[in-house]
Amino acid sequence: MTNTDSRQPLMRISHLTKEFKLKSKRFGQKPQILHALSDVSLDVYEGETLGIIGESGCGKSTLGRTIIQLHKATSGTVEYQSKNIFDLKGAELKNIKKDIQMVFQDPFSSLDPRNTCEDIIAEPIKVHNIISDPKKRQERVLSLMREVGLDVQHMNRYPHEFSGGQRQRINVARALALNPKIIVCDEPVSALDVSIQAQVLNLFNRLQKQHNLTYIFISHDLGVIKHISDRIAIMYLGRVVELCEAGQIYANPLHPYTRALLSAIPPESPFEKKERIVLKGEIPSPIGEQIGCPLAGRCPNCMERCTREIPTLRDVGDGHQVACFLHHND
Amino acid sequence: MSESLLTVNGLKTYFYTASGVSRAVDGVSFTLEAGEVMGIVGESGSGKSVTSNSIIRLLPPAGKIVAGEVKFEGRDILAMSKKELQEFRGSDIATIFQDPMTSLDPVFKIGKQMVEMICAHQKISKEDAKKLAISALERVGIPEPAKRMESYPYELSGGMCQRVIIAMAVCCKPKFILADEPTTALDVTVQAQVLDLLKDLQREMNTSILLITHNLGVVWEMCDKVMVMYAGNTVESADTKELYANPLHPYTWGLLDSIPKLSDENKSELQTIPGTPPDLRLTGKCCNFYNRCPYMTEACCQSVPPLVEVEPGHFVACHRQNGVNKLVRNEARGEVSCHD
Repeated sequence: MTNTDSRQPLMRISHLTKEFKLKSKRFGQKPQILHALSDVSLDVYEGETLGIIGESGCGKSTLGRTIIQLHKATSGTVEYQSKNIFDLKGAELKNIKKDIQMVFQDPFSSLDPRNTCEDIIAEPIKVHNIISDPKKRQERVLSLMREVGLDVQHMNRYPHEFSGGQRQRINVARALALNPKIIVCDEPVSALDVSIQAQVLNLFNRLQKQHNLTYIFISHDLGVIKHISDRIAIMYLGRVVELCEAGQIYANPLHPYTRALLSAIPPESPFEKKERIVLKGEIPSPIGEQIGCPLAGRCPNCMERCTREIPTLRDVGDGHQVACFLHHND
Repeated sequence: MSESLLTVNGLKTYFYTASGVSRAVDGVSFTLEAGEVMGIVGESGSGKSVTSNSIIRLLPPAGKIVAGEVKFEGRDILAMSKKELQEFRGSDIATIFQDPMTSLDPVFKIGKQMVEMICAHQKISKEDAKKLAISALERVGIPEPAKRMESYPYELSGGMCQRVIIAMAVCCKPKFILADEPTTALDVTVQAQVLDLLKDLQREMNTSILLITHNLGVVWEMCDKVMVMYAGNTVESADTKELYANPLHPYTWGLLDSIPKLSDENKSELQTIPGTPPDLRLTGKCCNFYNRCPYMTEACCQSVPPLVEVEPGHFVACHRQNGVNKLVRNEARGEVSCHD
């Protein structure tokens, strides 16, 4: 991890918080607040894949969407090229948005059914007015299609004529159209079958090598995340609870939640017998005031302090960060 | 062999659509003994769910069972009248469907739905049915079961709803549970809880379970036997440990290789199966896997490979595994260019 410390982060997410106001049920009542993201700080380095994992409702998708400003952050900053992208406006913002693209989860609803494959991939090029000559633009689209492994003869087909895996390739081609630096991938393979998933994962790895891309890769599948990531952040109830190198998380998980999550993965062979760490109950509600460690009610190692204070993410050596009092020496 | 609990033999279910006949299930055979857990794995569109729906005859109007037999304790399910079926479903066979939120009726309280189900199959009073329902809810680990009886499905989380459905399934002490992707809609930690629960119940009541899933990890954990399906056919069927240690069909190899494993090296190239599954309207003339198979020969394009028992209990449907020169896994790795 020593090299990451000396490297300058490409993107610095600091204290990012997103709250959703829920309509009150009764007239005159104060609206309740849903804490989707609380105080998330992450550094993203150039050329790496930062995996983000967590169960449904932990805020991983909200994080991705807030970074590309589909949601307006309540507080906190995202620094890119030493500028806070939330402060930018107009041409400057448009310029930066070119560098940060997204691949969405559902390959069926993320493509406009009325546009052909060519229109879809060409759209960002038109919007940013990069290639104005239609002939040259088409050439660019064709080269992108070849790059992601689509048949160029299918250029005039509509999304419904493609399979799930092919649609996800169109999504990737669209994201690549602007030569981005960072691609936020929100569960890009979870809607695909395993054999197709493997094809798309290989595509992501190959493109990263070729274009020196940086991925923020969101998934709930630990196998996929382990396969693709350099570093992994584990989220629980809107907070990052552990952050470290991909190998470390499996070799040396520190946070009780990480351990429980790892023990819940089905075995890799029928001969493997796993000891399971069971967390009682279910994820608590993110609505209302948050007191204490989010895991306190379910944690097997819960201490008195955990119910009062929220542990912060702290480095416990070798860049392994964990938000748990068990590993904080104070 | 004495009578098996469930025997499916040469089952063919076709869907008659405007654009042609879709061979969703095209020759599936297996047997399930009492107390056994069997898994069916395959990708979407391989016919896993249609197989299970054919067993309980819950097919949409377009779907017809055109051939084969399904026998439950010697009784022919395909010949049952509507009334017999109604009695048979729910009491002898219970079903757990994939999506827990949509398999419960949203406008009725959970208690009411459970009591209705119990009274339909057992001749007991409503009061007793209610007690039975509460004890079943308690058994599946729902806190405050009496209070939960008064809840509507939307008030419960996905994992809780799935527990309610499991409770309903075990109320009538069925001999056989059909679980169609019971944990696909759930998170891993909740999935682990639900699988543990199913395993406990299975041991306690000696029920057989037919578990349909696309997640091989779930199969390794739960099942004694496993059947792999591809494009409507059984391609391989064996004991779980045997299938893992000694898989024979090229599709099974591809499936096992394409799963990202925790023990893999970071960012290593995954082995993939090139291409996509075939159109089910065009299958049935040859081996359905031939166009994606690296070991394909002339014979594969000419006839459908029969399901052959190559070792006791290990069935495989592949032309190249029947002959004298058996295939060796990874033999073709060198020659096949890997798509991504």
